[in-house]
Parts: sequence; structure tokens; C-alpha cells
Amino acid sequence: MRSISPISRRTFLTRSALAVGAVSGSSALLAACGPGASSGGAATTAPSAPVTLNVMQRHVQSLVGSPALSKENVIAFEKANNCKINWLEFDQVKLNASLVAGDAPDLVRIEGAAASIPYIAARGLAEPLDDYFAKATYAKTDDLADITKVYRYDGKQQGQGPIYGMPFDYSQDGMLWYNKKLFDQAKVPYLSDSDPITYDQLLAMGKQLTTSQGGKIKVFGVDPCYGDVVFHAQLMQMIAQQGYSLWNSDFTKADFTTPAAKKALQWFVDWGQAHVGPGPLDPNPESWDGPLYQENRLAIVEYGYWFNGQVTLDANAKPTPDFAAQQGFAPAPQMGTTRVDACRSATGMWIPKKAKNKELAFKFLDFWYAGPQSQMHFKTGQGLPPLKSQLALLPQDGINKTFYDVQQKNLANLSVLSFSPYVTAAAMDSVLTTNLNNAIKGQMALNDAIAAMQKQVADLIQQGRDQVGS
Amino acid sequence: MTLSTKEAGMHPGQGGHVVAPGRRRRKWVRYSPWTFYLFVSPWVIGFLALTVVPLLFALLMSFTNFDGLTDTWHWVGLHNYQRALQDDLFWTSIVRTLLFTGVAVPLSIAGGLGLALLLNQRIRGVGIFRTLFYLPSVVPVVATALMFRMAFDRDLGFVNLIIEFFHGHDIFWLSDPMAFWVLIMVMLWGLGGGMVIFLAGLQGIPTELHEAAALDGANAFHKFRAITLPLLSPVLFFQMVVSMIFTLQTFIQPFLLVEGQGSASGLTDTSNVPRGNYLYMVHVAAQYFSFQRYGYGSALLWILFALILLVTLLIFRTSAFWVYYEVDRDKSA
Repeated sequence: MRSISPISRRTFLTRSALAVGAVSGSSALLAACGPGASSGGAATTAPSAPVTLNVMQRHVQSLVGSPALSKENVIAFEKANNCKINWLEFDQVKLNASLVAGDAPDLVRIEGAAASIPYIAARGLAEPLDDYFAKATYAKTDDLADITKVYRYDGKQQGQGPIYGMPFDYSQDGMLWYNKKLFDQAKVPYLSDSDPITYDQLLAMGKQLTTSQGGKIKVFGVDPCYGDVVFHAQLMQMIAQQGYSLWNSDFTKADFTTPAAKKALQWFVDWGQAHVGPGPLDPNPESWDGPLYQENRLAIVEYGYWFNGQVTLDANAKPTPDFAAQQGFAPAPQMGTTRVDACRSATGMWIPKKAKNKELAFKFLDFWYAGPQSQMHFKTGQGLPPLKSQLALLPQDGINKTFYDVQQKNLANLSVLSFSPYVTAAAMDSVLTTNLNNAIKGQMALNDAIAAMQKQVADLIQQGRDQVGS
Repeated sequence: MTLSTKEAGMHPGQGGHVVAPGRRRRKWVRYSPWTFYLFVSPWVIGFLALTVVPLLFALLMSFTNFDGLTDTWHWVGLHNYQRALQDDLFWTSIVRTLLFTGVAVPLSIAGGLGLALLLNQRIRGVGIFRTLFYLPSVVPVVATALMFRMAFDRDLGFVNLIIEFFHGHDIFWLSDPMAFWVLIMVMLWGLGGGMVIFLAGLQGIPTELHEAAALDGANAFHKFRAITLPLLSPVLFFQMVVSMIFTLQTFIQPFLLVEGQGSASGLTDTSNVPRGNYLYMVHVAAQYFSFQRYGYGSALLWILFALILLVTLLIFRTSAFWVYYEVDRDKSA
């Protein structure tokens, strides 16, 4: 019988730890050598090996091959630049982890850029792109539309300073689309294409337009907020329309207790409790209210010009002239006498400072957003272009001319809201939605909801200031 | 009387092993301990790398103000733990979670035991019934929650269709106050898992005891109370502990039961979760994903760990009064 030498517990633990360390080390080594690793540095990449460009976008499965980005153009770019584009589905948690790990994608989508650019710029996460634009092939600095200012931040104020990205398109997001057929059925007069209505008028119209059948709502009157309760950008606009601001001058305090803010918040509570839109008391089972509108079950939505593509084209980009003919487009409603009709989003892309292929990333951004590739997107009227020279591409045939004219008239009222660098848009929206939901459902009084918002946002701002160091 | 090897007709084989007469000598090979460690090492390495290391990392994170995004974090000591004590939502979510556990766990144990008692009979087709009752517990939790959401949708769900058929009014199942009870129903969907464990426990109870009790005039209830329950108490104890631990950590179902489109932020957005379903883990998720408070979220998780440990210890302590072990335990232990 063989003799056995017993192993002590200490020896076992020591050797296990060594084994774990060996496994971890070899995993890291394998990851560095693996196919997922970005090979940006010239010193470590064979000259003939294509560079992997990591682009993080949404709906990547359907993106390439859509009017927004043709497959042929992607292949042509890859061939011309000896690269391979690796499409990553946008995920905020994954993005955060990659930024912390120093393994950031090369190009990242930003939705609600208007609200998020100060946040990422203040934390030194984004690469300033002024020098890149100076050398751009298509997106020349003097051709950039005013909307690109939302991507500028000088450390204190949004709208000035270095530019940190580029919008793909934009809209004046508060403008109203309305279904004339439903207006005719309810005998409600159409909206003016140049003079805005008030929010009180909007709510009254919503009540007239809402119809029920068998105890269920058949047609909703108005959805003012993308199918959600409220975005803080929208609240900021409603307060600005009354001549006030949600934020103080250095964005270290948000005040929900002013009469202007209370008036705006009360309006949302009234809207929610009036059962005139897909809100907390009447939720919409769809993921957004576009399908409701397209099914003639929603009379007014507060979307911007980009919704043009949803009313004039079907899912296969085929024209829908009958449906388009019954649509109307009007300026954003106003809560006060100061005309504010802002862009709240300006979805686009930015380049992380830690990206490995920044030059190539900008080249692709330039090619996609400003090059010949972008023409198809703007010809279908899916948003306003970031370059002045692209404005002429917007569709102006038939019913599109009507929408174009309304938009052109309203562009004069375009303004840029400024957002705080201390708190994310998602956090602000979460605080607002949670507390307003409770108020709409009658679970807390509006004043208590406002007090809760005030406290929670102050907390978030302090957290942000601790991190940014101001 | 213990027989010697010789008396038992055994004869020694090679290596000193005894072998029964007429049987082939089995070659036993004793491996060195390294073989054992080699076989358990995948699990040990996985446990260390995927459980212990993240736990320790979360513990370290709980003492910082890390936002999960930048490297400008600072050491804050016990600030996150102190913050929890002053956080109203922390207390309300804990109370709500304890209430939820206090309802869901007894119901699931009673339901599982009830099903097991029903299916512990020799009836035709009992195997089919056991399978049918067990199958729901193998459906993934996400599929289950989405199925319940569709079924209880106010406008499109078949539950309200049935109510309408009987001329009742639609019920807003997925909003307060009914959302809490729908969540309970989702938890009870997996009764089959507990049923199987109770079934195994029931089948370990000697039938002679029931027969003897019947001879003494005991009815079904007497037999259940005096024989079944005591002998099943170790299984009950196990089920209680495991169910309580899992139920206190309920996380994904409240998100999936949100009716309607919710926020564009998707699954990690907590702002549309009904108040009644705003459980502790929902509050933790809000800290991580809505408010970028990774440090505070980690502190909340460690507080939950401590709470679960405390409740488990309480159950263990009380077990001496109600858990019956057939084998005498060593009193010196």
C-alpha cells in the first residue's frame, strides 16, 4: 500500500491561493491576446491586421442596413480604413464598467446629450474634439449648426468651451404632433402651426379628445412626455417659459419649491389624474407611445420633428400617405409668456478619453453623421441635421412641405437649456418620476412629493460635488 | 454479537482487505489527497474568484463613495452605513420586505406541504400529478413574471376578462394595492419545488407509526399532528431557512411586474415600481443604477447580509423547541 503524506490546512490554503492567482493571471494574459482586445497601438499591431473599432450603439441588430446606416457604406469605410467595426449594444452598466476598467469603447452613443454632456465632461471622461473637427472631411467647424453647442462645456457653463461630441440629429422636442382625424371626430379645432397653445389649453383639449368604451379608454387625448410621467428637461422648459429657472447659476441647487416649479408639477398631477393620457393610472402596455399614436389611439403627442419619420413611413420605410395626410404639426405648448422651445436631447456620440482608436473613431463619426451616408437619414425626415448644409436635404414634397414649413418657422424659437454637471439626467428623472407617480396616485400630497424631490436632489448634487471636487 | 472475520466466512485478500467467500477480490486503490483537491478545485476556484472576491470588493466599496463610473472616489468610512439609518426609504423597504417574507414564506411552506400530503398517496396517475405540480417551478423566473404581467394586465389580461365575463369591474392588479398580492402569487407559482422536498420527507416517515396510531384510534388530524409534523420538522426547518433567505432577496420580479411601458431607461429603472413592491433589493438597485451610488448600494447589501444572518440565527436558536430529530444529538456538542 502506498504511504500517504497528509497535507496541512495551511498548505492547502496557500496552494489554493496560488492556483487562483495563476488562473487569474493567465485569464488576463489570454484576454490581452484574445480577439476582443482592441489593437489600437501601432507598436503592438501588425501593419496589415485590421484595427478593431468598438462602437457602442442602440439596436445594433437592426442599425446596419437601416436608412440610418447602410451596410455597403459600413463595408466601404472598413475597407478604406483597414478596420473592422465591432458593434456593441448600448448598456449603461456595461459602459460604466468599461470606463472604470480602462477598456472603453471607441465611440459611444449618448441619448439626452443635452443633459449628459456636462456630467461626463466635468469628470474628464470625454475627449475634446475641436482639433478633430478642424481636420474633418465633412463636418467643418463653421458648418456646425447651433444645436452642436449642447455638446460644448467649459467647466462651468454648457454651450461654450470645447466640444465633446456630435449630434446625429435633433428636434425641438416639445413640438406637438396631432391626429386631425381624431380632432374631427371630437370636433376640436386644429392647432395653429405658428402660435403655441398653453398647457392649460392642452389639458382641456386632451379631455375633449379622450374617449372610452366599455370602461376602457379607447382614445387617449394627450401624452406630453414620451409615455413617461416627466423628464426634468421638460420641467426645466416649463419653468423657463415662466421666466424662471430650476437651477441656480452654478448648478449647485435645484429649486422645486418656487411657484413656477409647483405650477408645472401640479399640471402633471392634473394630467395624470384626468385619465387623458397613458400615465401611471392608465399605463400603456407598449414600450413607448408611438404605436398607440400610429393606431389612431392617441390624439396629441409631444415629440419633435424626428417623429416625421414615424408618421410618413412604415416600419419598412415605405411611405404611408394616407396616415401622413391626417397629421398636424404645431409649436410646443407654453406655460408662460417667455417663448422657450428647446431641444432636450440631441442624441449623438462621443469619444471616451481612454478610447484606443480616437482618430479612427472620429473619422467614422464624421463619415456617418456628416458624410454622404447621412443624406438618406435626413431625406426621410427623421430629425433635423447637425450641419447647416444638410438642412436642404429635409423632405419637402407633399405633406412633408407642411411639416418642414412649421419647423422652419419655429426654429427661430430654438434655445439650449443648461444642465448640471453634478447629477445625471437618469437620476433626476428617477427622482421626479418616483415622487410624481406617488402624487398622481394620491399616495402623497404634491407638497410632500416636492419636499422629497428637493431633499433627494440636494443629496445627489452633494454627491456629485464630492466627486467632481467643487 | 459481533462475528470475527473468520467466523463470518470472510478471508483476507491482498492489501489486508477482507473479501466475502465466492466473490472476486476488489482492488481498492487509495489515492493521494491531491486527487481530491484536484477534483474540488474547479468549484473552489470558482467560489473564491466569483463569490469571495466580489464579496470582499463590495465590502471595501461600502466604505467609499464610488460612483461606478470615475476613479475620483474617496474613503468615507462608516458614512454609508450611517446614511442607511437616516434613509426613510431604507426603513420602509426593510419593513415591506419583512412583511412580504412573513406572508410569502408561510404560504409557500404550507402550500408545498399541502400538495405533498395530497400527492403522498397511492392513487392512479399520482406521477402525472406530481409532474404537473412540479413543472411550474422549473420555468425561469423571468418568464414566470412576464406571464403574470400579461395575465394581470388591466386592459388585456385574461384575469380581468374573466371578471368582466361575470360582470365585475376591472381591477388594477399591477398597481397599488393589488401589486403586492400579485407578487405573492408569483412567488407561490414555484410551490412544486417545496412539494418535492416535503414529499421526500413524508416518504421517510415509517408507515408503521401511522398504522399503530390508527389502531389506537387516531384520526387523520391526530396522525398529522402527532406523527407527521414532528417527524417532518427537520425538513420544515430546512425549508423555512432556505425560503426565508431567498425571499428576503427578491429582486427581479418587482421590476418585471411593472405595468405599461415604464421609463425608457429599461429594467434597471425603479421609478415605476409600485410602492407596495418597492422591496429592499429594489431600493438597492436604485442606488446602483439610478443614482450611481455604488458605495451606498454595497453598504445596503452588507446590511441585508447581516439581517439574513440574524434571522437565520434566530430560527436556529428556536429550532431546539420545535425541531425533532430522531437521532439523539450529542448533548456535549
